Amino acid sequence: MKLTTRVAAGALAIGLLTGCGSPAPSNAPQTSQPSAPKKTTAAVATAGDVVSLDPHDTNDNLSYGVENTIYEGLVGFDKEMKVIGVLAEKWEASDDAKTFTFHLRKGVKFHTGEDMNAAAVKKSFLRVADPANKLKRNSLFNTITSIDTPDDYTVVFHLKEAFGAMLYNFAHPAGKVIAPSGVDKGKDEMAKNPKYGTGPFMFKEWTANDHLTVVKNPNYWNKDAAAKVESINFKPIAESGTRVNGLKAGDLDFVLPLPGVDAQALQKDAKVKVNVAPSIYSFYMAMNVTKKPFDNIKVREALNLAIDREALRKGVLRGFADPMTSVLAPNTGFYVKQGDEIKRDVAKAKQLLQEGGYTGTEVEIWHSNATERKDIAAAIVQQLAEVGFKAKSVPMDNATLSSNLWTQDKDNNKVQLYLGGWSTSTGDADWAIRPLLYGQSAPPNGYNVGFYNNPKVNQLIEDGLKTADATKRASIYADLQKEIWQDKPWVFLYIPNNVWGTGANVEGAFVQGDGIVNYNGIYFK
Amino acid sequence: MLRFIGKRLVQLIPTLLGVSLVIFLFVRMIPGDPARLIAGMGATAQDIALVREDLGLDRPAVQQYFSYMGKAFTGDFGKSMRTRLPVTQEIGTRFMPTVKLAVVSMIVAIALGLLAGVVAAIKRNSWLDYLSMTGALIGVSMPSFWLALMLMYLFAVKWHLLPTFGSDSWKSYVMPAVTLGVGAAASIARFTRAAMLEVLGQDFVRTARAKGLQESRVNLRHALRNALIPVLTITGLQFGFLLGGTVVVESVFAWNGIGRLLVDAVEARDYPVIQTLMLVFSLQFVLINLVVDLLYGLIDPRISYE
Repeated sequence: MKLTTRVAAGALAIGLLTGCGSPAPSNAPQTSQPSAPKKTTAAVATAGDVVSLDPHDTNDNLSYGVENTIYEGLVGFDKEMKVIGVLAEKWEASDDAKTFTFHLRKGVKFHTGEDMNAAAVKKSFLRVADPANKLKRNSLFNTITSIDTPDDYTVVFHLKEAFGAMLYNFAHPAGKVIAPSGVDKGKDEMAKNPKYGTGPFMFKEWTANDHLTVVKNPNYWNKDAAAKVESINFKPIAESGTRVNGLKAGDLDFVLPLPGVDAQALQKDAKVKVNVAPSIYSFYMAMNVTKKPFDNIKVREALNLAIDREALRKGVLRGFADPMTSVLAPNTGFYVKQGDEIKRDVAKAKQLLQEGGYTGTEVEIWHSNATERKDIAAAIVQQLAEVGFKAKSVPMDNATLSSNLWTQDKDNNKVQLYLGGWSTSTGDADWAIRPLLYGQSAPPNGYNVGFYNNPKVNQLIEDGLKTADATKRASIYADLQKEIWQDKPWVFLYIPNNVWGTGANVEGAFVQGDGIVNYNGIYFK
Repeated sequence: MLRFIGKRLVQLIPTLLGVSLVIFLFVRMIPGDPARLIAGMGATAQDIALVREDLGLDRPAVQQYFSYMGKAFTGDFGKSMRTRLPVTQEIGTRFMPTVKLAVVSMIVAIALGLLAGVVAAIKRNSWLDYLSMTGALIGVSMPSFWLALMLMYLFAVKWHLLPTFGSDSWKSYVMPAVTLGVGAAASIARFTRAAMLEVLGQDFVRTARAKGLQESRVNLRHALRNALIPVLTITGLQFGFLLGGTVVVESVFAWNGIGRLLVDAVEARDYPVIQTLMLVFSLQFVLINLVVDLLYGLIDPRISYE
C-alpha cells in the first residue's frame, strides 16, 4: 500500500466515522460577566425535555409549565390553587351540576390573529372531548355531550351526568383554548408547533432535548400581566448538580426541581435564592387491605403509629416537607384538618400489632428507584423494625413499577405496601381521592392500589360529584376525609414542599401547589 | 481492498436483520407498558386504551414487527411514541453532537494515552513510569461523574472560564472532552506501555540500536509503530463506546447526545426509538471494526486485503 493510498484509506476511515455536519445552533450560555447588563431573557433549567406542546395531549407537569406561557384556559389557578377567571370573566353551574356556563372576556385575540370567542372555545373543547381524536386528556372532558353558544361571548357546556368537580377540570392545565386554525391541524403539528394560544408569550422554536424558546406577546390582552422579559429559554438539564452549578455561575435564572440536600447548601449562597412553597402532593404508603395483615385495622393503625414522621421530614427531606393532617393536602379544595400529624408511639404500635394478629411475616414495600424515594423507604423499614414489623424495600424503575402496580387486578396483584404520592392537577378534592380510594378505581381501572373498598367512602365520593354547590360539597368532603382518616387505608406520611432555585435578582415566577410552574411573571430586579 | 470493504458491508445486512429481531423481542419482554407510561400518571383506563390504539400497540406483535421493518427499508423508522417526532429526527439531531464529542475526546485520549504509555515504557521503572501509570490508574478509577462536576465547579462556577453546559462553542467541548478523554487515555496508556515493552525487548529493536540509530528514531519509528496494533484495537473499541453516547457526561453537561436519548427511550419503553438506536449502534460497531481493520493495513504493511 503506497503512502497516498494509505492517506486516502485513513481519510475514508475518518470520514466514515465522523460524517459531515454543520455547526449546532448557538444557544449555549455565555460565561457570566461580573458587570453584565440587565438580562432580558430568562434562562430556565428543567429536569427533562418537554414531551408535548399540545395541552390536550399532555400529561406531565414540565410540559404543562411551558404550555402555560403560550396557552390559557377559561379558568385557571392562582398561587393557592384557587380557581380564578382567565379567558372567562364569570361562570355559573346549574344546581344539578350538569350545565356549566362561561361568559367570555371580550377583545382577546389568539397569536394567530383570530378572535377568541364562543365559536373558538366550542371548537377547542369539541376537539378534546371527542375520543376519536385519541388525546391523552380526553377523560377530563368526555362527559361533555354538547356545547351551546347563545351569543359570541357565552358558552354553555352540557354534561352527560352530574359532575360537581367540572369547574376544576376546566381549570386543569389541559383545559386550554386552542385557536380554530390550530384545531384544524393534526396532533403531530400541535405537539411541536404551538402557535395557537392567547398567552403572554408566543412560541418561537424548539430543538428537542436542546432548548425551547418563547418570546413576549406584544399584543397580550391583559396589560397588567404582560410579560416583563423579552423571552424565556428553557433548557433540559437532567443532572441536578449541573442545574445548581449553572445557577451559581449565573448561567441559569430558574431551576426546578432542587433536591433537599442542594437546597440546604444553596441557602448559604448570597447569589442565589432558595424558594419554598407548599404543595398539594400527598405522600403515603398504601396498604393492600385485601391481604393479611392489612385487612385488620389494628395493624393499619400500628403502622401509622410506628412512623416517626418528623425524622423523615427533617432528616431525609432536610425540612422541606409539611405534616400530613388529612388525606388531602391543605391547599387542595375542601381540605379539612383532621388533627395534628400522627405522632410515633412504639409501645402502642407493638400492642396493636399483637392484637391485630401480625405473625412476623416479612412484607415488601414497593416504590420507585428515585434516590429520595429509596432513602425514605430505608428509613421506614428501619422504623417499622423498631416496633417488630418486618418489611423489605423493593425499588423498581418506573416502567416496571407501573406495570406491576396498575395493570394487575385484585386477584393477581402482588402488591403489599406501596410507597408513593399523588397530586391532583384539578386542585379539587374529588380527583385527589377518587382515583386512589374509590372502590371502582382499583387497578387496572385506577390507582387504588390498596384495593380499598369502603361502602361509606364510595357513597360520599359519588355524592360529591352530584352537586356543584360549594357548601354541599364542602360538607360531603369533610365527612369523607374524616372517614378515611379514621379507617387508615394508608400510612399517612407528609406533604413535600415545592423547592426551586432562582438567581438573587429573579422574581415573579412561582410553582403552583400541583408542581406546575407559572413562568409568566418572571422578571429581573 | 474495495472488494474486502464491499464484502464486509454486505455482511452488515444479515447482522442488522438479526439485531432488529432480537431487539424487537427483547424490548417487548421487559416489563412495562408504553401506553400506560406515555398516557402518564393519573390517566384513566380509557385514556390508556386510546393511547395504545393511537400507537398501534393493540395490533399483534408480528404485524408490528413487519410494519416497522417494512417502513425501515424505505428509511421511515416511525415516530417516537413519547414525543411524536420522527425517530430519524430524534436521532439525527443528537447524532452529530455525539460524534463531535467522541472525536474530540478521542483526540484528547490518544494524545494523553500514547504520550504516557510511550514515556512509561521507555523510562521503565523510573519516576516517570510510576507517575504515568499512577495517573493511568487514577484515570481508570475516577468516576466520570465526579470529575465532570469538579471541573465544572472550578472552571465554570469559581473561575468563570467555561460555560457550565451547552454544546456549541469550542469552550463547551473542553470539560466534557477532558472528562471522557481521561478515562479512555488511561486504558490507551496501559496498553501502549505493555505493547511497547514487549516490542522493545525484540531483536529488531536491538538491531536498530546496533546500527547506531538515534534513540528517538528507534522508539518511535521502530518500536511504537510495531506496538500500535493492540493500541489501535483498544482505541477502536473506546471510540465505539463513545459513539454509543455517554449518558453520564451528556447528563452532566446537558449535551444533546444519543446516550441520553437511549436512557429516556428505555425509561419510557419508546419501542421505535430503542429499536432504531440499537440498529445505529450495531452499524457503528461494524463500521468501526472495518475501519480498524483498514488501519491495521495502514500501519503494518504485512497485512494485506488484496
